[in-house]
Amino acid sequence: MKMLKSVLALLTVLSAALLIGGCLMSGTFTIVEEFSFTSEQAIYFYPVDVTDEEEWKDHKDDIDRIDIIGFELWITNNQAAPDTLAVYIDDYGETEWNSLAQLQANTVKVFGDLAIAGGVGTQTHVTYGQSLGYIQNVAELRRLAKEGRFHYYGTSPGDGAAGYTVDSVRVVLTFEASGGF
Amino acid sequence: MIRSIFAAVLLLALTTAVQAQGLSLGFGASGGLNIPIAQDDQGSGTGFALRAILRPISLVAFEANLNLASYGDPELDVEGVTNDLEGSSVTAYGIDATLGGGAGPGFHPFLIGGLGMFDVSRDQTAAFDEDGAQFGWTAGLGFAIGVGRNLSLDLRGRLNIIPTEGSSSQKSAFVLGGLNFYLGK
Repeated sequence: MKMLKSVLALLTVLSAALLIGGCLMSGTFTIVEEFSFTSEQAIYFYPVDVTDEEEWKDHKDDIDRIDIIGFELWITNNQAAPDTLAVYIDDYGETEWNSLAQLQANTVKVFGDLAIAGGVGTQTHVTYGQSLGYIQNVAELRRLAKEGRFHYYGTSPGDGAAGYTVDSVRVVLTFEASGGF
Repeated sequence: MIRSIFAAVLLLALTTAVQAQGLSLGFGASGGLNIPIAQDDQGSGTGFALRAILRPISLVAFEANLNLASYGDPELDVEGVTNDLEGSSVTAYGIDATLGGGAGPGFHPFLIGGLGMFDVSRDQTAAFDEDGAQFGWTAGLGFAIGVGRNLSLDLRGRLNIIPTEGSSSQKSAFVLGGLNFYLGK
């Protein structure tokens, strides 16, 4: 019985140490932003802004690093031929680019190239985990995402004339923050 | 046969040398859990540890350790997002100092503090992961229960802290149980 009490005391101290050391100093959090495009366009533009999310607002002054950014995508092809998708991002300024040449000159490609299966009405679904394999230019992606908002452009990197509809996009953003919470 | 004899002779020589120096030398192996602390992108997994123990005085020991662990798949719990992120694998090595513990009959609590290198990797997030092993430090406590002159049961909890950017850090806890075997007792 005496040994059992000692074991319980040790476990209590350990739990307290883990709680103090682990939870009061820093943590990792996840935010999701969802949007969709209802019409087919050459360039799909969306101003991603997570600064209104509760999790972001709670930690916005203490965010140290963006850990992981991924996308969940649903795409419907509108043509018989296969196509490709790439994502470019830019800062959350007033300028909105509207051609592939402008995107390539002024923004950063962070995702691609994703093959979209051919066939009218054919759907392509990319999961969050799968999307991570298409991510590139991580440093710039992290820098812009750390602002909590950025311009998101989806397009076909070959000619900028996408023959598909992006039905839905979910941006999954995981960040590290420190401070008391 | 020759290898076995050679190993036995080597062990005997090592034991004799340790006794002559008044040191205590031992080895240990443990298995258990690897628990992420305040990390949304990792789940609880398992871990395995090997350690070589040098005890210059009865109250203090130094442990060179190798830890092979994995995180479990995280529970993202986000509506509309496929929960297919896998947990990372961890290879960590370093030196811990322990205050207390030891061999022999009875109950021996101890404190742990140490330094180490942690290589945390995940195929899915290779583009985001740090290259190579990162420096970190450890703290914890545990207890040993002697089950003979040379053998003790070892149960420990070790907090692992890997500083990242700013004041943030990645934290986990190894909760391990295993055996330590001491030479020269």
